This record gives sequence, C-alpha cells and structure tokens, in this order.
Amino acid sequence: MDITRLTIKEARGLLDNKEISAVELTRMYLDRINIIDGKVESYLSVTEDMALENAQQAQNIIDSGKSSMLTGIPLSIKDNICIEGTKTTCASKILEDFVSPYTATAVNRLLTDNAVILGKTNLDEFAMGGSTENSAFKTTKNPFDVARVPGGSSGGSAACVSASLALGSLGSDTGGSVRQPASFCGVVGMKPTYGLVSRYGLVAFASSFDQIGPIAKTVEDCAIILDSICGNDPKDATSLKYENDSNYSSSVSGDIKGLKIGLPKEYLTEGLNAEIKDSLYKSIDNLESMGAKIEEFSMPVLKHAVPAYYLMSSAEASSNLSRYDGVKYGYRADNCKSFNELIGKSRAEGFGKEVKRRILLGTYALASGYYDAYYKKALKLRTLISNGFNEAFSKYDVVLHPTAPETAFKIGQNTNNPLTMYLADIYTVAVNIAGLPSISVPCGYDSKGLPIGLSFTGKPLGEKEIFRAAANFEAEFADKFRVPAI
Amino acid sequence: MTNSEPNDYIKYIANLAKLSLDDNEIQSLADDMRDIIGLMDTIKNIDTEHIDATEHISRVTNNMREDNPGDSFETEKILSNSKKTMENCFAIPKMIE
Amino acid sequence: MKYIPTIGLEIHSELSTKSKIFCDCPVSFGGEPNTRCCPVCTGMPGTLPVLNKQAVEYTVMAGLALNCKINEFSKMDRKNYFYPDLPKAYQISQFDLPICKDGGLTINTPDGEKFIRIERIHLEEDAGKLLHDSYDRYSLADYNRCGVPLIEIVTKPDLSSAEEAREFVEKVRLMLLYSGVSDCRMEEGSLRADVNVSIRPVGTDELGTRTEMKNINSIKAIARAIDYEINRQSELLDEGKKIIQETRRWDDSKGESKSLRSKENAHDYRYFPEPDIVPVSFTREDIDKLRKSLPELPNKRFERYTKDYGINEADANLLLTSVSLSDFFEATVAESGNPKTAANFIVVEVLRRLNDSCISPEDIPFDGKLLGRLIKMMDSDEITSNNAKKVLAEMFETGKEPEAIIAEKGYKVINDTSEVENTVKEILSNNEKAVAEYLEGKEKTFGFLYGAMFKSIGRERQS
Repeated sequence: MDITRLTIKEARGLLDNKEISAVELTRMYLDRINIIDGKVESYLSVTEDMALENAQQAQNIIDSGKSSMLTGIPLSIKDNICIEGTKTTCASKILEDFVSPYTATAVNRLLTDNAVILGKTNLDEFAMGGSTENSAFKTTKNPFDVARVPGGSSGGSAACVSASLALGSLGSDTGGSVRQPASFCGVVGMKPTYGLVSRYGLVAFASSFDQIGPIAKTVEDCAIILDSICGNDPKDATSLKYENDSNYSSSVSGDIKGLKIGLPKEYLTEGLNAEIKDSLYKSIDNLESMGAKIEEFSMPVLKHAVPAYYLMSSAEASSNLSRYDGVKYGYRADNCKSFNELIGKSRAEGFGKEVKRRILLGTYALASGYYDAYYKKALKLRTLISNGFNEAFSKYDVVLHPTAPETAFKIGQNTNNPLTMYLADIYTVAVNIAGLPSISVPCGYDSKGLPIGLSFTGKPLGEKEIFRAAANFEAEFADKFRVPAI
Repeated sequence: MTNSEPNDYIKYIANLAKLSLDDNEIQSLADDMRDIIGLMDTIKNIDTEHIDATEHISRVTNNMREDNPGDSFETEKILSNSKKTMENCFAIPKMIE
Repeated sequence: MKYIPTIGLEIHSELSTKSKIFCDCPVSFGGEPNTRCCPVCTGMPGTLPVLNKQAVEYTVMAGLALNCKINEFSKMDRKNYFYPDLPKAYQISQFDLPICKDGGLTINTPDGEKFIRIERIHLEEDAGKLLHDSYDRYSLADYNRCGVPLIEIVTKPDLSSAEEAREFVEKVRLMLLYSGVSDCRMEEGSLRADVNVSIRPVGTDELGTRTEMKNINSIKAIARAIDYEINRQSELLDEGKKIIQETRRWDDSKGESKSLRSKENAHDYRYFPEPDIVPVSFTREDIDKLRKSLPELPNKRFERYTKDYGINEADANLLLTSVSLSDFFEATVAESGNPKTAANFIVVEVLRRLNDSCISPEDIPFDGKLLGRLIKMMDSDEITSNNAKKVLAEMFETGKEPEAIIAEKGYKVINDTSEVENTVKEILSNNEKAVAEYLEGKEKTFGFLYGAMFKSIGRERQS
C-alpha cells in the first residue's frame, strides 16, 4: 500500500475488506508523523492516545458491519476548532494553555461517524494570514519545497494532507484559508456555503465569513468529509436548515456536458502570475473538451473585494478577539496593579503582530466618525458583490478562477509586507463576502514544480455543481498529479 | 490616520482596543497601518448611496431557541482555564471605580 | 433662581424567562458563584449565542403593555467595551432597530395627567457581578448573572420632578408585573434605572448640560437621587458655575452622588450588527397573538375597580400594588359578590396583617375565595363584622376555613329567636337552684346562667 497516494475512498475499501485494521492504519499515520512531521511541522499537537482509542472503537464498528464512510479514517483538525479536553491554541500565545471544555459540532459529527482524530494542525494565529508564518509556535513547511510556505491560514492542515500525515483535515476558511493553502500544497480544499457547516466550536475570527471546510487529496474525499460535518446545528443560529436530498459524495459522478462556466475578467488582469495564467487556460481547454461551455464575464466590483473584505472581517475580528483579556482563560501578564494594566499588557504580550494589525484596522473601521466611511461602506460593497454573483449565476452554473495569483513563496519573503499578503487574497475573498461555496483543485505545476490551484465557485448551496465540475476536471488531471518528495 | 499626527491616532485606537503597545511597536504598526489604510481608502469614493448595507449574510430570520433550561457546567470546568481564581470566582486586580 | 428640571430614565428590567438569553443555563437569583454558567455565557472561544424566543416575546409583550409600536424587523447589535463583568467584552444589545418604539404612559401629577413618552424598548443581556469586598488587592468576578435577559426602557426627557419619576417607574413596574414578563424585584437588582438630569432657568428653552447616574435600584433611591442632583445643579448654576457632562454614582446610604472619573473612550462603543444572531421578524399575526396573550393590565383593572365597583381611587391603587393582592381581591369579589366590602376588608385588615407580620401578598396562607365566603356570611348577618375580623386573624394563623373557625369559636349570630327561647327555658329549668338564688337577689348568679346559655348554644353549633 502506498500511503502517499492513499485516499479516504481507498482506505474505506481496505478497512471494510479487513485488509488493514483501523488501529494499524492509525499507527501507520502516527509513525509517519513521528518520522516526517519534524520536517513539515504541520501539527501543533498529536493526540495519540485519543487517536488509538478512536481507532479501536472504529474497528469494533467495522467488525459489526456498521461502518460509515469515515469510520476508522485518520484525520487532523485545525487548531482553532475545539475538542473537549485537548488544547485549542489558535497558534496564539494568548491561548497557549487553553484546554477546551467542549467539542465543536463539526468534530462531534466526525466522532459520531467514528473518524480517528490524529491531532491539531498549525495555522496563522487566529487564522489571520496566508502563509502560516503568523503561528506563535512553529513555521509549517510546504511539502513540495520546505523552504517555502504551505499557504494559510490552514497551512498545517494542507501540508499534513499533502505530506500524507492524515487522510483529510478540517480547516477554516474566512477569506481563502482552506483553498489557498490547498492550492499551495497540491491538494483539494473546499469552502462550503455560509451556514452549511456549524461554526459552533470554531474559534471566531470573522463570524459572518468563517466556515469550516475539508482538505483532502481528492474532490470525492472532500465531499465525504462534508457529508459528515454539514447540516443544521441548533447551537449555531446562522446554520442553515437545508435538507440535502442526497449526499455530496455521490454528486461527484456524472459528466459536465453543457455545464455553463463563467470566468470573471477582473481576475485575469495584472498581478496574475504568467505560469498560473497559462495553467488556467490549459484547464479551460480541458474543461471545454469535456463539453463545458466557458465564457468570460465582467464584474467590476470584484476589484474592491480585498479592501471590503479586510474592513468587514477585521471589524468583526476586533470584537471577537476582545474576550482575550487574561481573566477567564489564556495568557495573563504578571504583576498587574489594575484591570486596565492586566488587559492591556496581556493582549499586547499575547497577540502577534498580524493579529494586532487586524484589531487596529477593525477598531478603526468601527470607531465613531469612521464607521460610515469604512465599515458601512464595506457592507454596501458586500451587497454589490453578492448581487454581482447573483447575476453571474443567472447565466452560469459555476464560476471558474485561479485560487491564488502566485504559487508558494519563500518563507520570510512577505513577513514584513502585510499589504502584499492582503492583495494576494484577491481571488478568494469575494467568495466569503457573498457566502458562496468554492473548491480549489490542483491544475498544474509551475517551472519550480510548485502546485497551482484552480477554483470552482458555485451559487449558494451549489455544492453539488462544483463538486461535479471539480471531480471531472480532477479525473482529467489525475495522470499529472504529483506527490511531494518530502 | 491621515492627519498630521498619525501616531496619536494609532495610540487612540490601540487604547480603545486595549493593547498596551510600547513606542517601538506603535511606530512600526503606524507604518504598516498607513499602507493598509491607504488600500482601504480606495473604496471611499465608490458611489453606494442607493445601496443597502448587507448586515447579515445568512438571509434567514428568527432562528431562535425555546426557553428550556438545561444544565450548567461544573464550576471547576468554567474556571479551569483561568490563571487566577479565588472562592470559585475569576480574580482580577482590585477594581477602583 | 428658579429652574425647570428635565429628566429622562433608562429602566432595566430582567425578564422572567426560565433560561438565559443565549444559552440554556437556568435563570435564578443568587446561587454559589459561577454555578449557573456554561461556555456560552462565559464567552469561551468558539461558542455562539442562540436567542431565547421567550425573551423576544416578553419584550414584545412589555412593549404592547407600554403602548409601543413593535418593529416588524429588528436585529441584535454588539456594544463593545471592556469590563471584567462582561466576559465577551461586548454586550449583545440592540442599536438602531429595537424591538419596540414610540410608546408611553400617562401619570398623575399635581397639575393633572401627563403623558410620558417611551422612545424605545430593547432587549439585551445582563452582565456578571463583581465582588469587591472579600480581598484588599482583588476583585472577584461571578458570571451567574451573565446572559440573564434584560429589557431597557428608554424614556424621552419628559419628566420634570423626582415625584413624576417615582410615579412613572412605579407604573412601569406594575405594567411589567401584570403582563407577567418580569418579577421586578428591585432588591435583587431585577429592576434598576439610569437617570439623566438637567436643569434650565425658568423662562428659557434651551436644555442644560445633563448628568447621568447609573444603576439605581430602588424607586425611593431614584427619587432621592433626582432631588439631590437637581439641588446640586441648581447650586452650581446659582454660583455661576458650569455643569459638567459626566456620569455620577449615587450612594443611597450616604444620600449623595459622586463623579466617576470620566473614563476615556468610554463612549465609543463601536456598535455593529451581531453577526452570530439572525434578525428577528414579526408578522402582524404574531404581534396580535402576543397582544391577546397579555393578561388584564393594572390600568384596566383600575378602571374596573373605580368605575364598576365604585371603589375609591386610593384603595384601588393599594389593591393594585401587587399582582397577587389584586388577584386575591378578584377571587374575594368573585365569591362574595361584594367588591366594596372586599376592598375595604383587604385594604384595612389584610394589608395591616401583611405589614405586621412582614409577609408579602403572594404568601397569604389562604385563598381569596375563603375571604369571599367570610364576607358573604357577614353580609347575610351570620356573623358580626367584629367577629369576622377575629376569624380573619385566625385564618392568617392557621389557614383554616372560616366556617370551621366560626364553629369552633361559636361566632355564629343566631337569628332564630325560638331557638334561643328554648335554650333559655331549658337552662332555667335545669338550674332551678340558681334561678331561685337570683330571684332572691343574688345578682352574681345571672352571669352564671348567661354563660351556661352561650356555652349551650356554642355546643349546639358544633353538633
């Protein structure tokens, strides 16, 4: 068995046919983490005992013939998603010792399906960033080139799947944090429609943008994970009461003859790396040869998506992160004489620089006298962007675009250049602004051998269309798919 | 932050956000923020006068719970992550009003 | 100089829901610290609020009781400020679209009736409690109260004296009590008010600089604080000094207010729409349904008591001071069919006993129906009013039914003279010796014969 090419679907077959036990499979991953993760540094904590316990239980289920798709499948969880009794650090010094007293709904659903949780993966502090360099604890490396970043903020999740240190992972996507690292690491990352997956237990960054999403080696594997974690949750008032009439993993079959695909012109202008553009056009050729109809369209408001996104998400973040005050949990500055000193110092010492930038930006955007010019204006752009997509989806089934303007960059290259980092979110943030589903799949490699991602974006609750389109594309691309040399 | 005393404004915002930053940090963040605010300012002149603000993205209303009391958590669990507790309470430096 | 005060109130009242506003922790007063808490109400990372439907409905009912319009679409907002009693560092409240708006109540003033406008009523969460007294260097935070649902009733600055404010708060309190949305126990902090006061010289129109006093938790204290503030401001203006816009703290035990050091940034709350809670919308039908579910409110009862029952206004007001007392009265009337006597009996006798033994109307040990039966017996001259009072006293002690007490004590008035005649004859014939002595001039024996007769009648009543 080649673990580097193993998928959830295949592992399911092996487990059900008793070719391997859940405990053996879990041990294989734990051993591989021991050997390889020193190089990748994708995990912040490995929950070995819990994993083996999960695996043993899963085996009992398998033996009783009642396994579901994820029974006994080893997965990892981004460390901003809570699991009772384990650390949830958000890669922040301010939550370094935080042990969650409860479990996130999405994780509970994985556990109900008897998936195996291997551990918690690295991220940019509080999911703010696109390189995972903003982690307070370690710098995760790109398995395709350890001198480069894995992307972010779910860089640990993407790198661990890419390096075959888990069969799949839960990330969170606020402005591209699942899709961009998936594209940097040559794996599939999917961001569901806002409200499809419960946010209960996902440590909030920007509440109206955050969605938990799966990262895996294949489109079908992502759909399998989504089938487990999606659905209404009474603990999350923004979760949708949407009844899925069939599961997502079955939606990957079927061809895409006649599928109408729109390509926004605004995403093809300057800033897009030539090799990525090349790869995009080759992908378009492939999709056309499969019978899809592709057409360019214009949505000028997309140009403003980045500032609108940063204003709104930072405003929400500034409020969401106010609770870290050193009183109830988390880092507490020593020897403080007053509450104001305690809170000011705990926050100044506990948060990293990027988090501070966002808090400052968000506080500024909401401050008296600035609210209308920044925050309110951004909310209006949110309307325009949503309307723009509505219009596009009246003509197209799926919108196609690059996932990121560049492939993985060198570690340290952009650390002191927040603006460059923000602008690189250009192709992913609009999806979150409008609450749409989107999936990034590998579509090629640049001259340095670094993976390139292609995104399929759907209308609200249009998961099935994008899974089907992405799966068709993936099947065509399968021969070219590369395993990182790590 | 576009006025002549940019750092004063950063200090004001940092204070509002309860971040006790030292002068070096203020300076370095002020430099970053100038660029960042510059990017944000690009949306200032877009005409959105007749556009409604999207205040909620989920497009549903009234997702409420029934008034059924359940069980609270054990006090120990509620306090377990705090660095300083006394008499089953979170302890903070004395508040002087 | 003479000044005209302008007073506005923000009245906070806890709602009587069984669980908290955003989580299912039970709501009840007191309790060991941090025993009514969960990850949601203590603001643990990753938790989300889910709005309690009953809290929203109670807010609508409060609005209807206070003559407000109900916004068909409203939303929750975040009010951001750092304070250790607020675990999320923002309070979920309502900013520009409160559930209720544009209402008000008529109060009585020495110059006649006056309508006090209510600008809005919004729903929000309560904060926790800080304990300052246990340690020299530490304050302690107890989050049991975090997330208890509160409404805030904001008036227009229509009040112009402490007495008007007192009257208004008392009326609001009764409305909330009768609509069943709040128990308004002030001593437990479930009703408290922020008071805004400014004054301007008679003959001028421009409002003066206002000050605010927060969290005053008794109606008497509200009135005292307002009087104090009017005097303080008047003295300042008389001395040609300026009034500073500030928040002051009222210390009711000292009878004075002190300036709170003006906190910098205190007023930049950075309100924005709460993204975790979807908006609330009502149809006309929803609102009508809630309107129909409102119990009869005290103003309606007052009308009925004074107009239909002919009870004087003072007594009617006394009866209405508590829902239990008013309900007790209703039961008494229903049984006795005599509202005037019932009112009189309750206002004089029942209230006196309640006061003497420091019990509240809800703890009266017997049903109003029983008092109704007693009054009925009084009305049909089966018992004298003096004895009825004694029976009532006994009912308070033992909770026994009035008939049983009357029988025991032999309070029944006997109207059948033949019965008395027969008894007298019987006693006379059974006590020939005593009769003979009496006739010989021994007056003392009359007492003996008289006593024997009553004993006999009493005994007969029992059998």
